[in-house]
Amino acid sequence: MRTSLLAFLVVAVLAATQLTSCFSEPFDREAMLESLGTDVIIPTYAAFEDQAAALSDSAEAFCSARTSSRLGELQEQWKKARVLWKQMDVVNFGPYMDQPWRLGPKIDFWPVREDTVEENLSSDEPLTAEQVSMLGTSSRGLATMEYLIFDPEGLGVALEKFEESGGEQRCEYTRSLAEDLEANAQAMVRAWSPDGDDYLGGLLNSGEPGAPFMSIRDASNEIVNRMLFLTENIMRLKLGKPLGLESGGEPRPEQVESRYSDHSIEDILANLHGLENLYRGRFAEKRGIGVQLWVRWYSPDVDAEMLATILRTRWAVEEIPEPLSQAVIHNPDAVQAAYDQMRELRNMIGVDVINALAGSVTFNDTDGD
Amino acid sequence: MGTDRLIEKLRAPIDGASLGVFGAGYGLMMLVSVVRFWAKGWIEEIYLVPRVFFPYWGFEWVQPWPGVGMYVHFALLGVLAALIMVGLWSRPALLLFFLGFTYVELIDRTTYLNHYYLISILALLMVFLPVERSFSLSRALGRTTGPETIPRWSLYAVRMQVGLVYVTAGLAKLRADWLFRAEPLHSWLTVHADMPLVGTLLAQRSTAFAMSWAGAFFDLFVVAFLLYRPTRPFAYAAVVLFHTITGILFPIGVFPIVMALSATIFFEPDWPRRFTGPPKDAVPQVSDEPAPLSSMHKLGFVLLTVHFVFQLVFPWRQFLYPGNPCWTEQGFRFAWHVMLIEKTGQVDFRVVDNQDGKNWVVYPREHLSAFQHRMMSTQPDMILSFAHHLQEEWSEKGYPDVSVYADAWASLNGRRRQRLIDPEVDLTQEREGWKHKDWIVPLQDSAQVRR
Repeated sequence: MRTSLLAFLVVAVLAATQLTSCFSEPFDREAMLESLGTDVIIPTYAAFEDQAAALSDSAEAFCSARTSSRLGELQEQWKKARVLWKQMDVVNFGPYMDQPWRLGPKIDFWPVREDTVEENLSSDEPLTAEQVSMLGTSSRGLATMEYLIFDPEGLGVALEKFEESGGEQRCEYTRSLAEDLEANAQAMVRAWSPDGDDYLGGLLNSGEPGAPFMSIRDASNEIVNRMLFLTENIMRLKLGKPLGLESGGEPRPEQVESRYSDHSIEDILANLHGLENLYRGRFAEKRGIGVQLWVRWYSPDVDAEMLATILRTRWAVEEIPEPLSQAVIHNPDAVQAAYDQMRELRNMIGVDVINALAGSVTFNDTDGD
Repeated sequence: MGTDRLIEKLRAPIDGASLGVFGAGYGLMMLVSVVRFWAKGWIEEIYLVPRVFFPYWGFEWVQPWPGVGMYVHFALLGVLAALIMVGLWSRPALLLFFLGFTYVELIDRTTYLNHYYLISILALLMVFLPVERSFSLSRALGRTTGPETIPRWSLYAVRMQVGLVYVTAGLAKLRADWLFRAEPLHSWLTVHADMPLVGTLLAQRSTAFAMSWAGAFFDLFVVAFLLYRPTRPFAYAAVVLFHTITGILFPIGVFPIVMALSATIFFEPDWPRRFTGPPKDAVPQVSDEPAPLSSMHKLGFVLLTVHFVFQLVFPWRQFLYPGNPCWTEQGFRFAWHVMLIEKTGQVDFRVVDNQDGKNWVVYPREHLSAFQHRMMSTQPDMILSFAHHLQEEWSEKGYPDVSVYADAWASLNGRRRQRLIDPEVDLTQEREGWKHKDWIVPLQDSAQVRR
């Protein structure tokens, strides 16, 4: 009796194994997460780290000789660093938001609190890098640096502020901000890297005690949810609000991101570029497993439409005449068209992509009925 | 058989053991549910944090208690559940539990679940049933005396209620999405594609088909198989297996245990005696002589009949509305439409001041909890309620004459996204209620998203 039961169990297990082997393997979400970390996120942060270091050098060079050309170089370097940073707005989780790192707001808090920054400038205290690292997020990071080194009136006016009384303190602040940025950029790379705090390793161990997510499924869903929230944030805060969609139709140009440098449209394009990199699993020459393969595994149609929607959205943003702060007043139709297209992308991710992946249908205990 | 004879049959005494265990089990499950609700922080998350609620039409006056009131409310529900569990002062405890639990459910449509509705109905039903007759503290303390018997109708009433849930849920599954697209099960099972051993199998549409058809068959016939003694052990094993699988695959709280417990009501009335031995008093046999029927008894039977006629008819009010009820959700609630839909949606609102043409885009995520936002985005009647909320909010801001439009997109059971609400319809002009909502864009039967 016992022998026949054992034989039955062996046959049953073998049959089940054979049956399941007939089917294609499910998409490997863990491999996708690993690839996104090693091929997209860490390399982008590493590139940002390089640009932050160069920004620090530029700030040092400018402060040693406050000339128009050196300020121009500093501004260009700020833009280079800015573009890479904005590509990572989509990875708004983990070291970006979580303690003990919470590096996102330290690197880029928007909008800058002008009065706090002016208070710091008029302070008698020397603004060393150490002191800057202890300031609140509203008066440090890329946005504060933008306020210090740019002026909507142009390079000349920006330079004047460094030449008039208090210019030395302004320069000290700029230099310290750049140092602080470099340190935070390094901390970000360290936070993700396997030879540092290894957040990526924690992500891949999701489900185990101490891991940031309850499962690999949840971690993968977070990536898609971040893509969704990014598009909604661009739509709502970076386009809709300046356009006046939340203020009864009255344009609010002062609500534009990066308005001192007129870098708003480049910021949005960098955001989209980062989203696309995450979707395609790529950065510069690197090619890995992106969310795209996950989507395509379930639905080639949704993948094709997603790519087309990203492209149409980018075109619509590129169609906005610069600067955005003026476009919301003089060319609202172009901004509205970009907004509408961004909403299309939001709906594409928020409904079709999430629906196709099924994995992003995050149940809670009150679902399913 | 005449009506009188039927009534006498229904009044005949039977062993109250089964009902006693059912009542105690119900109390235990409710106690566990209350503790779980509290421990997970849902009291704050669902009733204290949100600034906007979605009460049911006609119950707009139901609001959460202020301050620590909701915590006190849940604590009292826990005490009442404990009383029901041990079988002490069961009738008042059940009545108060029914009122308290139903009040909580009426606060916000966001939290609607079929099994919460079942919990309310069972509590109300048991108010009128002698649940303390067996296995109760009341009997142990001598408060309940006499034979451990109950009139047959009281057991049948619970059986009918639980049976109706299964059968209606089974009938509701006889629709194209469930039977011929294997949705939403395919969507849900695919989520578990990386489960060890069975993951690959779960991701197959053929598996979803098999489970869909088996699920419909189970719901339709399990009650019959539970009632028929020769098939009962297999049927109950199927109940346990079915609810265990759903419990593993879909985190639906204590619902699987509640249903597995409820299924015991179809066993013989004396089944618990196998474990506890016979009662002190023998169960009297059915009397041939009809005892006089009091007017209270007659009223009771009338009310019970009205209740079950309502339960039979109300779930099918969906046929009074055009369109797919899974999409429009007209007549969808309180109809035992269990696990029939997977919806994803996105919605924004546009408020237009009709006096000076100013307009505002409103993102509901800013006003609602994540849970409310997710539920509202796909449910037309909640979208309408939110539009009315915006109308009130703008009125308070000094804009008494506004129109509100919804830009709502959703997908149902794996279809591509499509418009849910007519964007040209001013929702402030639409009333809540039973009337057909002709501003819901009919479902286009588009292709599946997933292969």
